[in-house]
Amino acid sequence: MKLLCLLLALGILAVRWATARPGPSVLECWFVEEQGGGGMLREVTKRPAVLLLRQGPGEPPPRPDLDSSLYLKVYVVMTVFSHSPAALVGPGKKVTLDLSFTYTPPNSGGAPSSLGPPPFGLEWRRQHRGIGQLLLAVTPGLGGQALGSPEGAVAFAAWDEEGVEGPWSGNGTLLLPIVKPHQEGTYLATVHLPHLQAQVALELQIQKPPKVTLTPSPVVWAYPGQSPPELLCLISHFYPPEELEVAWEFQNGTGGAGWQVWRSSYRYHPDGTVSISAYLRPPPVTVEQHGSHYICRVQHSSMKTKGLSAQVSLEVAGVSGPSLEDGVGLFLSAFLLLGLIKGMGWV
Amino acid sequence: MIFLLHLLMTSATQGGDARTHSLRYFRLGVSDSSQGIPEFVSVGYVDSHPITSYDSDRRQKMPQAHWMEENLGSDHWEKYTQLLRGWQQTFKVELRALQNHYNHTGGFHIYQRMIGCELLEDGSATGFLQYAYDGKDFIVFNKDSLSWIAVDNVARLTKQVWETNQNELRYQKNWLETECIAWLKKFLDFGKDTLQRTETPLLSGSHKKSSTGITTLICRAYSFYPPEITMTWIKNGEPITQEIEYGDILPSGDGTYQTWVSIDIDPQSKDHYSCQVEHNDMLKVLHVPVESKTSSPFVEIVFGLTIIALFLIGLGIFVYRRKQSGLKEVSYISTPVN
Repeated sequence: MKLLCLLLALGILAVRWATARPGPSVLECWFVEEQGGGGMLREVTKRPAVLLLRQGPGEPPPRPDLDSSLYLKVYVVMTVFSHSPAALVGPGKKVTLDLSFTYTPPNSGGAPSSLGPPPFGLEWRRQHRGIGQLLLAVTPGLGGQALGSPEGAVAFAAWDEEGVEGPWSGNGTLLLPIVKPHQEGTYLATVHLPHLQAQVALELQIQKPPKVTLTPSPVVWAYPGQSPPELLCLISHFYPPEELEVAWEFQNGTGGAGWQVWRSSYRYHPDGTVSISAYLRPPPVTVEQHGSHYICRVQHSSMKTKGLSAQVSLEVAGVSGPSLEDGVGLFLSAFLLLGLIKGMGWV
Repeated sequence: MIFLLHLLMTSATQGGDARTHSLRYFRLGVSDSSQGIPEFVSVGYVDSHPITSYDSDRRQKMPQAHWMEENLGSDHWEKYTQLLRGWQQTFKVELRALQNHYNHTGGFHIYQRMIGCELLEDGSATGFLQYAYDGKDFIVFNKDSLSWIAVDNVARLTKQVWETNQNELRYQKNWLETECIAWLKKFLDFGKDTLQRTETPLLSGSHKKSSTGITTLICRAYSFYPPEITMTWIKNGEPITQEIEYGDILPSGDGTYQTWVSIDIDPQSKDHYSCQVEHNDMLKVLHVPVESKTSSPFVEIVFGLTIIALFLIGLGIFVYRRKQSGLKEVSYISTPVN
């Protein structure tokens, strides 16, 4: 029983195993000792430790920095590990949750007890925000019904080679061809072997940064003492819906106090992303504010530090001289008028 | 610019009033009560309705619905108040143990538990019991295999301890499958006027034109209960999924709910759009016509040219009349030549 626990712990620790084969010779880990006790959790002591791995006969590499009295010889029967313990992707992408496992029969030194790898069971489960779902359960070689694969998930569940003698390695990778936001969560993969089982947890996080547009754009007009029209900052097609911050700025970092701002509720799209509208009703403007900008700044968990922003400049009527457009307009009007007068034979 | 459209509505009602109901109890423990949240809170819900509440400040289990208060005697509230005071202490100890294991000695941490059951339309039932730490699933009870599903290494330690007591596991399974369902049926009867009523959705269609030339058809459903509803768009008889937006299902404040679904369309299209609503075994279809008096760019150009032409004609007449009067003047001064 104690051995089983240790092996189980090994399987869990092996998540950070970098390469499958030939594999590392040293694994940093924790040595966990149970102290008994009751209630929800047993009292345990945790000490940093290393696992020195070797295959076949021979001594482990020397580690003079470690107390040799604390050397424990452990026979590894089963390992389960993944190269992708945490994945962060955009919706619509293909996601590979890779899973490998190994089995070394304990009595391989003696006469071979079997003619090939043992049957195994593989289970993939997703758990996220209180909702759990069994995605897949298969027992290759044992027949029986594979529990359906909703969401188009595909699992590879096979031994890499079916040699007569172990050790054997197997593959239990789960493929999500077009990932949707609702598929995010903790993926629990459990491998069952006769009298053994080990589980790893993989995190799949889905993120999509928003698109930010401000209307009207690029200019809003107002008379001195009057308010410009309402501004709408559309923050669209992002995920997750939480951890979104929207701030309105006027000029350079000023403004905000007493401003009328509000937000729409979330709008949901068929691809699982969401949109939201933020509104600003600017207060009356003064002549001095001509040429300043209203800025909508958006910060979301999908963007590291730099947020997104959109801006519109304020034109206070009666401040600016005639613009190029005005000039062109005047010229055209004059030209047309002249043509008209000539055409009428008035001159 | 929103025009309320005239509605064409068809509806079909089938079957009885069978629908899914649920009973759920939530516990929340926080490591720091100075943020205005009591250290421990426990609330009960039937469907979307709060039925009971308890917290570490009031230390009293209270009814949250009049039909709970009217149907359960003071002995019930007293008994569960005593139990909750004990559970509050257990929760606090467990949260501290978790903080230790995660090396989270300081800061604000939360521990949650959810237990409950559902009575499905077909008469079958589900049951669930699970815990979360800092908003993430921690450990989940699997009543069919009488075991706990651990989500991480700390949860695996908890799993080991909790699975040593097989009687406790069997008790939890029995509570979920038998007692929870019995309580749910009882509460459904107490609150049947609220919980088992049906208010069919009222529908309205409208359309909105954006400055970019896209027309958005909006279909709203309101005044409905229960809140579960499905809304889809049908284009020429086929359900569509693209260019659709959904709103949240929001309480209207009078015990009913509201929501909406919209679709972006080409205003020139001759397609027929309708909004299909499924609510409590009832299907309603609302035809939302695309505005018939479309103002295409062509129409706008013709309209604009007409205005310019009228203006020029007006100006021409004015100028002509000025010229006429001028000629009169001239003719008045000089002798007409012919």
